[in-house]
Amino acid sequence: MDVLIDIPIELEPAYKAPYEEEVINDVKFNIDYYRSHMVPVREIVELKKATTHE
Amino acid sequence: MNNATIVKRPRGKIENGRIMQGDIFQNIEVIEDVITEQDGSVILKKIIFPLVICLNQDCDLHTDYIHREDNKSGSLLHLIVAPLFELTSFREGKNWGELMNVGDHISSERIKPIKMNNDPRYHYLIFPEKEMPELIIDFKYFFTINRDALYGRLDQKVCSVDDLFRELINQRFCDYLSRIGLPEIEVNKKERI
Repeated sequence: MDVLIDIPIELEPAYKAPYEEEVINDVKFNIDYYRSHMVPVREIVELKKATTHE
Repeated sequence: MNNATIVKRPRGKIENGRIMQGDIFQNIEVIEDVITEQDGSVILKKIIFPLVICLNQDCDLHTDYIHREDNKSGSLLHLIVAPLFELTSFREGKNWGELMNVGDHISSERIKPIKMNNDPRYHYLIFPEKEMPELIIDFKYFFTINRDALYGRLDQKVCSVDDLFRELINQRFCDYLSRIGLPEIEVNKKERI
């Protein structure tokens, strides 16, 4: 006679997902500002060597 | 527009404070050149891009994020980004402003494969859920930015491309970089059997 033995087994998931939280972000995008600044711009900054005074 | 990448609002779950593949940032600087003069002064040339998208693999970004503080292998030095251009200015050849003369107006015939994401160099995105214009990624002008510098600009993150769509962008980016230009070879008709 077959006997069924019910053994509770707790299985851990092989992969633990990283901590996540649901975030609802408002898109901080000003479309009007973008339309007036939508091309790349080059800036040139001159950094002068500090002089010491004795 | 079946092939267009649709960008949704970042309503999904994200890892807290981490840069992710497909994140779009605004007003990002790239250092173009640093020149040291004879008098000791330094000339810093930089370009400010209105919009860029992060193209690193998300697993690499995740590994960098969790290993960064321990200075373990897997920390990234620089992140890969590519510029996004507004569609209308792109079609008019004015998307680079005064920095570059990109050429003539792009015809309706020429823009069709681009908007269908059938041109290897470009990727087309639309934003149906938010008031953002149609954008084009130009893979040719990708650059890298210091990892800490981009993390310092997390407040400039505009939105993020959703799963699968962001993987498609990366796949197309890699295809573009690995393209092979074959030379044109004239074949003598008599040699063809």
